[in-house]
Amino acid sequence: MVERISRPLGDDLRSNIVLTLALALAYPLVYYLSPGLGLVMGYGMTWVSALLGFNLLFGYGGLLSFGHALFLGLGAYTAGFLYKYLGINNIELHILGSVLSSLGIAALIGPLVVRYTKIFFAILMLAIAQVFWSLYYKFFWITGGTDGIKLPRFTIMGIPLEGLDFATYHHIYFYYVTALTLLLTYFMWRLVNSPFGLALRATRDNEVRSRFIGIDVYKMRLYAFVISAVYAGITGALAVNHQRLVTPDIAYWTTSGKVVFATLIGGSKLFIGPVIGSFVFHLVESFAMRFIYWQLIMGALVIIIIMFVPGGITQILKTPFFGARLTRRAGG
Amino acid sequence: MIGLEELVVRTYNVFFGASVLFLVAVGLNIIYGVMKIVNLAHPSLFMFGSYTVAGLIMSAVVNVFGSSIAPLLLLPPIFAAIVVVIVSLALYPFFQFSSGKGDEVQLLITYGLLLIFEDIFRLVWGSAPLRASQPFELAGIFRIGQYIVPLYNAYVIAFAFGVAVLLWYFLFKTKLGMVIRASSMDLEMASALGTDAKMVLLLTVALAGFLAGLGGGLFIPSTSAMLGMSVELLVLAFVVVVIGGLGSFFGSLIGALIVSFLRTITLIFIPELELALLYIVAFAVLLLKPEGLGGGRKW
Repeated sequence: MVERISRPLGDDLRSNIVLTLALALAYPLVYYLSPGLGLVMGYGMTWVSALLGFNLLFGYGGLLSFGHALFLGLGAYTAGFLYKYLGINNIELHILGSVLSSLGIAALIGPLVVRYTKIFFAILMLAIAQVFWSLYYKFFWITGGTDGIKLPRFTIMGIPLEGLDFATYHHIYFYYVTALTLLLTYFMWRLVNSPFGLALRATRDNEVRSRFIGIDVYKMRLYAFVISAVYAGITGALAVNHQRLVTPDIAYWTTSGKVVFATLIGGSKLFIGPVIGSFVFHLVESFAMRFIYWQLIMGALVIIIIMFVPGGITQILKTPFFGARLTRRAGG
Repeated sequence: MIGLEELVVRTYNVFFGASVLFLVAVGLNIIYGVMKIVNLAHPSLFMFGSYTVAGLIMSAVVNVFGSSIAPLLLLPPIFAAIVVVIVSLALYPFFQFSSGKGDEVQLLITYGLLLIFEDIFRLVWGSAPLRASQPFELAGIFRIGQYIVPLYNAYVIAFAFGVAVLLWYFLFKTKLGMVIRASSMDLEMASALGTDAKMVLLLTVALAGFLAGLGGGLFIPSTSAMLGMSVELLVLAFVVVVIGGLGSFFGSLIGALIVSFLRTITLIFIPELELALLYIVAFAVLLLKPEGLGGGRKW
């Protein structure tokens, strides 16, 4: 390549991996000091995948989905059904199953929903997610209803983890998810900087001009939608293995709200936003949840962020003070 | 086989459901029509009306007027409407901020408001279902064959019909209504012709709030106010708006009737698929007739 693109810190793969590894290094210490906070970090790492997926659609594709709980729910219930009906608690198969189910459903509804943008897309997604939620909720003889499906400890490649103490089990889970997240982050980085990623950004910035230069807008959006769904599905399967219970809550609209909100906190403008957002969100949530009016706090924060810091936490990385010193050259 | 009596009762329920949905959807459409904002918090305003009646106004009215039926029927919705107008006007800065910005801005801001409202209900009125059934019980019941039917629902239908007629008269036959419709089509042009744009926007927000409060206050005696109802109403109202056409007054009427009809049918035969079927129909309308079944007219 001839051109060298200047990127702010945080909009590159390296700082993303450094941050993820730093968190992974800090994990044993945090867990030692406070196992509760360790679990919060576990959720933080688990959700990175869903937020990367959501941000592909929102940050890069300009499509705001209010229904990503649909895919988290699909991943979760795929894992639940695999155990309940087939006795499978192998985590690789849970992940594979959730990839297939979210891929399948996204390929089915994607062609319909990506024809719409903006409000129609947002609310159609909310609506479809609510339909699935109502199915999990109402067909209780299949899904266990609000009691849900209890999961045993998962096995890694068939190796059972039943005999281990809690701390070891949680550490294994955390590092398993970290490895997977690093892999998914790498794929996503390649994706958003591929010709596909650039075309997707073009459709976000100007749909009409993108058509003029020959980009198939519909196809770009559909691909982004399906990939985004798979990333969210993976988080769904992982999250229920973390809490070892599958309930309709993970498919409820409030989960979609959390996805949107966590991405906004981190900032959707930089590649690193979702990683920061996931951890900060779960930290904020764990404190806010102690206060039963946490939706009030969340709602107020959404409004404050949108009105005053639309770029989220990563906006600070782009301010002149940081930007001037930390701007890094990438590409080349 | 559905007998004649059952048919009458089911039709009655269809109209009752349609009345409630119309009262939610029409306000959503009016705000969208003029400000181009899809107010996700609109159903929360509706529920605000319900909660103020259930938690405050109804018992106050009962204390003052005892069990005479007329004030119990009339006063709660009107007071609720006044309260919600005030609340809506207080939210005007948020609407103004999001108007004209990107869609995600208005969606997220109104979504934030929705979250806040949900917890305000919990904070002020608690998470137990709240009832205000005095007028519902006073109005009594009547019988259609073996079926027992509440009379209050007939009042809701009549009231909603009255609101629809008055609203139509206001929007289409008065000068102010014409100004609102004109501003919705081209606000700049309208203000160049001497319309006070800010007044029109404030009036629109107040009108939508008025309808939401009125609807909420009217609806609550026949059910109980619960957390999460705003989202249920939002999801249903969205189907109404999609089927009828976004921003259309007649669309909200047609959409509300269709949605209520479909819900009643599915609740008889396959209750599990109630929402699923509604969305399949909404999809079909979006695909075949994206401007909605209201004929694609602006109002």
